[in-house]
Amino acid sequence: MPATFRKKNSSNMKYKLFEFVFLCVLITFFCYIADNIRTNINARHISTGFSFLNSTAGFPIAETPVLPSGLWESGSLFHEYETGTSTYFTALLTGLANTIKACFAAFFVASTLGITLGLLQWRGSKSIQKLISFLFGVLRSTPLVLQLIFCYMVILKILPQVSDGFIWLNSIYLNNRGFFFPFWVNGEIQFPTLTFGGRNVTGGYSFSPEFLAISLSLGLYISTYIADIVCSSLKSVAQGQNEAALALGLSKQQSLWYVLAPQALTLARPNFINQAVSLVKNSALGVSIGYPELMSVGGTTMNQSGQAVEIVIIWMSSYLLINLLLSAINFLFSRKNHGRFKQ
Amino acid sequence: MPFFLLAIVTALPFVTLFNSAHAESTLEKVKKQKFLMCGVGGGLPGFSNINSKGQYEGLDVDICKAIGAAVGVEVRFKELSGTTRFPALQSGEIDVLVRNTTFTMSRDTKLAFESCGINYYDGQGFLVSKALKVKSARELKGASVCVQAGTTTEMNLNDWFKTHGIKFKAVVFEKFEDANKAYAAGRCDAYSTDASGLAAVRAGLKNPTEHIILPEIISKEPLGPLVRQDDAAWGDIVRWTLNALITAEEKGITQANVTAQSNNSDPEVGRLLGFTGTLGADAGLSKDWAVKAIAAVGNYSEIFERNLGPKTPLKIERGLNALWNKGGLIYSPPFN
Repeated sequence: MPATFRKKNSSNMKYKLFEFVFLCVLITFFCYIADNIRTNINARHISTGFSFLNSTAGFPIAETPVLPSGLWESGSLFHEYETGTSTYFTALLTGLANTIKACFAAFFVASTLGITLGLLQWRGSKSIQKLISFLFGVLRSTPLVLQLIFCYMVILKILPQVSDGFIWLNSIYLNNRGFFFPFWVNGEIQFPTLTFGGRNVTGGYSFSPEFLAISLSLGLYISTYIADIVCSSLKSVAQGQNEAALALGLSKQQSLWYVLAPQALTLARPNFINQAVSLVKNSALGVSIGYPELMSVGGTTMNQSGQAVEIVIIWMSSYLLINLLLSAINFLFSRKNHGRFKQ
Repeated sequence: MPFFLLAIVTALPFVTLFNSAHAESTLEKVKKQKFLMCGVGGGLPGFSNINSKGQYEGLDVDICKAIGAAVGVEVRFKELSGTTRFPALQSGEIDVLVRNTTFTMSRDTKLAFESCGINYYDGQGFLVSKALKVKSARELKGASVCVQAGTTTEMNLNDWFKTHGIKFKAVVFEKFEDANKAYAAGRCDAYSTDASGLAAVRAGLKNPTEHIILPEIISKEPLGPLVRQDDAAWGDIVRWTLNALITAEEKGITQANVTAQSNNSDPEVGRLLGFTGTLGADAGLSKDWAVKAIAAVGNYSEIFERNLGPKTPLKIERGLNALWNKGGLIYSPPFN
């Protein structure tokens, strides 16, 4: 605590008193909520606890082969979801895996696009900068869920029916059921095949239209923020650094790559992680276009089992866990850099 | 840490203060707040939908209106998705749930709800494009099927396909409207929900005549109003309001003639409409509760014809939903 604060005893007391009252109110509030939930649940004879996770989930999930099932020992905790035999636990885990899968894809789109747009914003021509800021205006001032549904509908409109779809060597298919390609399943390469009289495709691995929509639209949305971060952190590196690099005979690209980017990266990293956190949270919107992520699977589980409070706890702790991991990454990097600067 | 403990000790007396909330019956609550909060689906033509005048209409909406009229309060509607409907009822956010909800054992026991009768006997079916030239659901091998999340539909679908050894792919949507849009955009080969819902989906498509409902009905879906089981007296009011509408059809009492029944010689009509006996008072309602309910929305037949019948875009026949003495399952216990 700064010395000036320590001297003024009266203001310190006031501060302590305020802290004390605030803490009391907070504790009362949480006790009230916890007690209310308990009373109401008891009064309505609703069963509680997490034992329902071991019951069989009878509902289908559209995207289950998140990883090749061969990698997962059958019967262990991590086996592929199978409708009618797998438990709610496996169902929720599959939902979580789908969430992570979409987040990775969206983050890939967001960072590649974001860095490109950020560089253009930094050094692009005036007209390009104007165009980009117009695009950002549109993307940032419309609700993400709207963009998502729009993107989904556009994808469904653009992609052809299976019968008119794109087929390459009978192994890669692109149509309104998704993008299908051969994949390693159960120790052998499985090719996608036409089913339902050539009107549908199964087998291999596929990116569904829902997955493509959430990855693209979430990626695009987050990229607008990443672009700003890239641009502003490059701008915040002292101008002299670039001039010195050029004076030493480095080319513009070399100056960017060896001098500016490393310094900008340190500045950008916390904000970058913040955007990743925001991306993970926003991925929950996938439920609105039928992407079977954690919110969607959890919602169905809630409905089938009636365990609303428990599912909300699972939802919150899952997202919290992912985001704590991201914060931990940020923390590790900042400590590493801190040490380096000390030396 | 002592600081924190001190805060807890100080806070505890306040916590116990909050515990004094006393249990109030739903009827008292509804009368006090002067409106009935009714949970409906919304967006499902024939059951609950907002019409061009901006008002709710449909079979479920009319049941809500009848309950409101019987109690003597106005009705407010709350749109709920398949996922949010049960927590909304459990928490007391709504007083009654009339959202084409299937009554099942686990909803009765585990979710602690009480069924107040059946207002529509439904069953799950499939809607496909005629262009597929599919005649039976058994031909849907390897097809993608659009369904709504958080419903019995998902489970039935899986059970049925498994029983028949057919592989399929489900594409699950949170909202009815989203599933409709996806089906219309060709995302799925088939759409599966209750047959009444399929009729509504088909009526909303660009070319309704190019789609057919397959003959298989793969489940029993008794739809009806639900209440919390901790207030049985409130459940009685909902149950007997629905029964009053059914009995009114049986006795030929309509919205138009309900106020001119004082000369009716049928003793049961007298008891139902409150000319004799104390049925209304026993339920905690006024003497003419049933008159008000029927005057508000008409009898069951009138409600059906107005919302679902052959004259509506849905064109649904009475079928299972005809009166018990006309070959259907709609049946009311006697008003004695």
